[in-house]
Amino acid sequence: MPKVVLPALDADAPDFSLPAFTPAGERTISLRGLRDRWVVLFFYPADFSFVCPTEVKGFAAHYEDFRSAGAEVLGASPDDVASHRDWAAELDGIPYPLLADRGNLVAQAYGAASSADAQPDRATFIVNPEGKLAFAMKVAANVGRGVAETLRVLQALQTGRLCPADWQPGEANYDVPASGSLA
Amino acid sequence: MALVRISLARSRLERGGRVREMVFGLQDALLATIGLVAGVDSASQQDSRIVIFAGLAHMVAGAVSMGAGEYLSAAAQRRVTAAGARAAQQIVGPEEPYVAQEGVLAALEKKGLNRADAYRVVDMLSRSPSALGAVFRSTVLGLSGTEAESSQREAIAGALVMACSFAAGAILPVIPYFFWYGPTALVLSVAIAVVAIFAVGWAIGAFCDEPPLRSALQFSAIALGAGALGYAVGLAISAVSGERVPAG
Repeated sequence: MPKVVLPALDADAPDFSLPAFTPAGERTISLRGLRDRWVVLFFYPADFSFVCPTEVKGFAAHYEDFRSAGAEVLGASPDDVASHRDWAAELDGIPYPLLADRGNLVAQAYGAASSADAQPDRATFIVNPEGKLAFAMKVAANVGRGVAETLRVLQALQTGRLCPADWQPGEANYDVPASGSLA
Repeated sequence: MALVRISLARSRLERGGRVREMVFGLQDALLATIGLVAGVDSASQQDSRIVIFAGLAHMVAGAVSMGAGEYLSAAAQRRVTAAGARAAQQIVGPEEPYVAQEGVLAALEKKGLNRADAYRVVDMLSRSPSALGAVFRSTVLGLSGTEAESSQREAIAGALVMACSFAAGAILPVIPYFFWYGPTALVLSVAIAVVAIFAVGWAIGAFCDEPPLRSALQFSAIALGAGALGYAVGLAISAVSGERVPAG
């Protein structure tokens, strides 16, 4: 089985330029074109499946929250743009782009798929405005991801400060002591 | 009109539902009885009464044994299938409906529906857990409704068909011995068996709307080939051991 490794945090996120279905029609979306913005990129196995819609719809439900936080949400699966269009219509509209990652080229670059014809893992990444990877996670195929948790992590990352476990927006951050140690 | 045609198709399927037991019983009885008759005829120094009694005993014992075997095998299959259906019921349980949904989705795609249409079909089926479960069992697990719901009455019916078929097949080769003895009876006995096997193959072909002659020849070749093989083995053992061994 091919080795699938998530890219290192703080490294440059693998760039991509993919056709996508967006509410405005078919567009080409590149990561470089979103520089200076936070990007939430999530891979899901396939359009027209019975676990994925809960996540796709979950990101749609929280889309305005992500936008308010200055982030762009991108969904990606190996399906083509026409499939994404039908899938978005089936789900009563998706407000963010669905990338057509044919052959899992981008998913493999992100360590989210083992081969060109495998279904990608449920993997989520957050890329900061400098194009560096700030967050990466994967979960087993039968478990849907927590969209609110992804939003919480994004907001925590955006503070640029130390955040304790279960930190929520509005709560106090840890400040690094003068000694430079938290111990 | 459509329902009438479905009803006709169903009744045809039901008529043909016991053909396995009927063919098995007839073919097995015809070949086994020929072997028995040939052996007893030879050993009894052409006493037709001994052949008749041996043939009748064989008919009764074989029919009972084959009927019981059919009943037990059907009952065992029913239990195994029921256990599989129970396990399937857990898979399609309300806690994890997506397992059945994804299974039916993939199965419908394999059968030629595009993924979007297959998704919509499964989505609609999912409004009824029992409908989704039934389609999952038949489409994904290959459990037909008749297999999952076959009753004890059907097992008994299968056993009766098997026993009666065996009895019919076993008595046919014995009939000549009621009127003749020796080589004449034996030749007639073999001829009756051959004609009966040919007729069964012909009937199957006719029932299935296939060329009856081809069906009869195929059926006879396999059935009589198996009998000839048994006879050849008997002759070979006789030659090696120096003893006369009834072939069949």
